[in-house]
Amino acid sequence: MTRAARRSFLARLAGAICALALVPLRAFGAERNVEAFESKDVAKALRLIGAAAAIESDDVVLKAPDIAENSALVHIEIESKLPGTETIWVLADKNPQPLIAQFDLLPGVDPFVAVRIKMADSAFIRAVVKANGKYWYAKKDTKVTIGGCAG
Amino acid sequence: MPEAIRMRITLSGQKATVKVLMPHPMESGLRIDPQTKELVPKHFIHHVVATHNGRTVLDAQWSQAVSKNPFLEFRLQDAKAGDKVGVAWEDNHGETNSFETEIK
Repeated sequence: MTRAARRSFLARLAGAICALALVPLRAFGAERNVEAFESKDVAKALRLIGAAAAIESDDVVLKAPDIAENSALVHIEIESKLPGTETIWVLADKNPQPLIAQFDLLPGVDPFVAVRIKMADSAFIRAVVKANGKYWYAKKDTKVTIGGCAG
Repeated sequence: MPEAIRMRITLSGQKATVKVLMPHPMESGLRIDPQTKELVPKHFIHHVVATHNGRTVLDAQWSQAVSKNPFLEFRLQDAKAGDKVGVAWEDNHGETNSFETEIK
């Protein structure tokens, strides 16, 4: 390798490393729906995400425990069987701020997520799905035995 | 420096199940410090991005009500050994962390 070639290789390598370091930050694109996340009641949060008229559907499969022994660690899984699923939201009706998560799904990933959430009280957990521009949801009544969003 | 992100990937056919653990306190802002008797301020991961060979496949916004040391599972399509899978997060203090590995 000539000196010039080596220099250009190093420059490219440095460039690649810089690009790699920047990828995650640049990928942070989606605008946060701050108002929806800060909303203190579930109806308002649903309205702010555009899901006020969401229809309950068996094609949204929400797995959550009947009884959560630890309210700070409630494992849930959401799967959408609706074609064109773009976004999945998770809410817990009685949390001080019910909207917990929004997952934007891009091509190359299944319409599925699993995550663990904190619940302030026994409540309905809701999974809302946007598919082909329409909103659908599933809900599950989950009881918690030890209180505390404190965890 | 936040503690390293951990990732476990299971490849089955062309489907990769990715399980991620992100060490983070995820303070809700409602917890009282037992020593100072004061509320511990909110400190939580509010943005997570997952990539497959550098391309974003999942872009998540979170609240303080995701559990401490968040767990996340997602499933990649058209995956094969040697593919790169990455996860990056940013919290409400502007701290970030990222991790990338290859599917084995």
